[in-house]
Amino acid sequence: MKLRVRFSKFGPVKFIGHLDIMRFVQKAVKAAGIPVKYTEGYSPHQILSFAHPLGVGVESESEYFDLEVTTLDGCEHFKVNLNRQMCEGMSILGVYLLPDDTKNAMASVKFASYRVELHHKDASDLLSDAVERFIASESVLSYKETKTGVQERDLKEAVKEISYVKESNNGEKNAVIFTADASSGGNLKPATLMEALYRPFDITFNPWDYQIIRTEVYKEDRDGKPVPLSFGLEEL
Amino acid sequence: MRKLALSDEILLQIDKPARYIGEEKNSIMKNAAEVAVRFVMCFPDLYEIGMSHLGIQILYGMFNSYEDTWCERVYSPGSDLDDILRKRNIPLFALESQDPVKDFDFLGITLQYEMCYTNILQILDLSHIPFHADKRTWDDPIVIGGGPCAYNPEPIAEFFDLFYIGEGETSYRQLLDVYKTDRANQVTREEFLRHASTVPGIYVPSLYRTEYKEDGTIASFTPLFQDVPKTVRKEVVGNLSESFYPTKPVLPFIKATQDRLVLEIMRGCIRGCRFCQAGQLYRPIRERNIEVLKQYARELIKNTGHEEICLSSLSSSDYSHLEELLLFLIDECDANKINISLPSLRIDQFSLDVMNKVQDVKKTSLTFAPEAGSQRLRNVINKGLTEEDILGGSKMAFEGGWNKVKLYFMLGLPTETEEDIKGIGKLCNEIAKVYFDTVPKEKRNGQKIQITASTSFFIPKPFTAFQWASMNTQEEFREKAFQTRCGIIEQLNQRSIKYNWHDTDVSVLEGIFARGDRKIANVIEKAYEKGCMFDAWNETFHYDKWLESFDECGLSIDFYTTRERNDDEIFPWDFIDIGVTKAFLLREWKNALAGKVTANCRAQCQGCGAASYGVGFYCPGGDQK
Repeated sequence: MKLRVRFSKFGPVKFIGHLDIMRFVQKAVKAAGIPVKYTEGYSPHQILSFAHPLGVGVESESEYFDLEVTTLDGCEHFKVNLNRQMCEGMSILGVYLLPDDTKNAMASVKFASYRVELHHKDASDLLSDAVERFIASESVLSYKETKTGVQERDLKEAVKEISYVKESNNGEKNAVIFTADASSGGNLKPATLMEALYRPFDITFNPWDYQIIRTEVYKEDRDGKPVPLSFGLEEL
Repeated sequence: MRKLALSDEILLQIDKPARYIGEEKNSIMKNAAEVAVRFVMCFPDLYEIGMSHLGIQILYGMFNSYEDTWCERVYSPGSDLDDILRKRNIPLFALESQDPVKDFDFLGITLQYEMCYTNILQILDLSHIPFHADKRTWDDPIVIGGGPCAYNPEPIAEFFDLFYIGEGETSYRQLLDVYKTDRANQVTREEFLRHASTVPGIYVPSLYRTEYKEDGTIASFTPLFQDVPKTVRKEVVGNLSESFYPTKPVLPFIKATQDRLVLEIMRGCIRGCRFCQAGQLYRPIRERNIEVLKQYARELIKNTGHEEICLSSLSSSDYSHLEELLLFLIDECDANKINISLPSLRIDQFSLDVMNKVQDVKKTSLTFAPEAGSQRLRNVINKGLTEEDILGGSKMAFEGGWNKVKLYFMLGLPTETEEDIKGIGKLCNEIAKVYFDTVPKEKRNGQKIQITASTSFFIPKPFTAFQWASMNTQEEFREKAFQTRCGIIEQLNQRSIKYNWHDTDVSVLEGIFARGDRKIANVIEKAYEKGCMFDAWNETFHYDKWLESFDECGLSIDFYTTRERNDDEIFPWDFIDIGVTKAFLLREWKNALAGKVTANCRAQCQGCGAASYGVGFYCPGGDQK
């Protein structure tokens, strides 16, 4: 039986890298007494896979991993039990039953949405200009150096939606909000978009000039519309 | 949400920021306002090294089980963060509360190896705590050292207010109570130290004076006051089965160097190898009850979800219920999908069976530690392993399908001759011969026998029979390593033998610190000022700076290393009573020089003195039998 788990990651634990979070989750699943299924062979490991790696320093409102269990007996309190094994800043938000024929989490991912909160004064002042200019442009090229040369990509094709919020009374900071390609072949890193947005203004960034928060990870529904990875699944 | 001591800007620029944020599973958060004593425990090396250490987990768990105490952790920051902390004047902080180390009541530093001594100064420096104990005020924490190197605390005595001599489980409660009372009564720091000196196991270096003879050796070592004890007796846990055990160890997010659960099965060792310090320090032998160990194993697995467990002791093969324990663990681990990492076991049919069960097809190598190449020299060091043991064990293993053998030797042992060194190559060759005789060609499956011989350089340590011995010079060490290599190359099966050896610079320094006196502190401080830190790491070890420092302090290296000591010399560590007597060690030194073997504790009590604790498993009058 396959399950999909949705969780969030905020605060100091954002400095824990993807591989270490995987090891942490594997231990937590084991300690929670969840009847997780193991691979066969001499060094058995849990059948557990993450939907999309989260970079060091990035927070998230909605992350996913899939795992297989040998039985649903003992999974009644899955969410509560696993939450007990979490550290501050990580919460299990939901556990869903996956139909057996579902593609694994990673293969289903098509898009991800982000909120990028600006700590950079100049960039903050130019927020609306930068985003509107991007929207108005026919194409916005980004360049990536690879082994075989410089790769060119039109970010207008990679970004599905983009907007911004201005600092508000309810604590929202100046931020760029966007949904972009997160598929295994075409994943767009938020930093790449941020550089492109501000290139016309000659602003470059350090990783600490903004806080990236992933807000959702999406698959496609039958009509090719982005829906959250947990969409249409029955909650356990 | 906790506020971190470091900004995102810093954390995103440094290597492995997860080292500095705390928040690990099973780490303990308390309300600082609600505790009377704040203790920060330090392992003066990188986080990944420090988090592999069982001792800190024991004390961390024990302190936090006290309602009035909050124990936190701190490790040496990597050089990238070290730079930033200095440049921006950010004080070093504890992982849990992220509060400055300087604000704590106690800073406990574990001394696991001599080469961490400059890192102690780094910790003090970054915490803005004066290096010298006599310059500290109540604005600074009480700096207390413990662990194996505290058995000769003299080279670093000036940097510490207190040392805890012995096993930490027994006396800390009393020390904390003295501290609480004294602080409530607003006594001076000096008065508190005086009171602390009467707590069992506590050594207060500032309350003793050393006088030297003209030749630089010690004339006398005396307490300054009547009520300060002349000797400090090592603390020992009486009943290991009832002492605190950390069944909820802190689990690091990043991979620790030793990333596994640890089950400590016993303390002490019956073997009495004459070079081995741990073998004497941790006497008398005490075992944990097997039922208690089974319970701990279950709890550890349940509380952590970890995927690997190992046994810890000085000589696991000597644990009286090893077979039952291993069979239990194999079942338990199989059911929970956990790997067992086996300790190095004496090679016999049982251990090979166990290895077979645990390791399945991927056969790892066999390990032998003959330590010396000839039977004569093995008798000198009292290493019970014989050539028949090694060849017989190898034969058994080859029949079982193993084909890799690792051998560990020491060079520079007392009385060593060229013949002994040649014996290393010969022994390796004999093992290869056994392989070719045992495994016919058609059964080798294209595999070859691989023998790896590694040598380290012998360093005389306090509280061993060899504490009187001369240590070799670097030139002698290098010559001996060369002879070892030649001895291997001239063997018939030399193609099957690989030889490893390490450089000698660090050994010299370790030799100095191990048997050093109070005069060494200046050198350590000088070397630190010249930038020495992380001396245990090859890439950051600067031997030239150390040589300069010795020069500038006017101290001779040979005095500490190559000089052979007289029988009646007063050693810097003589004021410590570990149970094992100096008379016994001297007798062993003479036995060594005469090539006489001494039987192990199980075979016959040798009257080493550790029986005086009344708790030794094999000691006459021991109450654990």
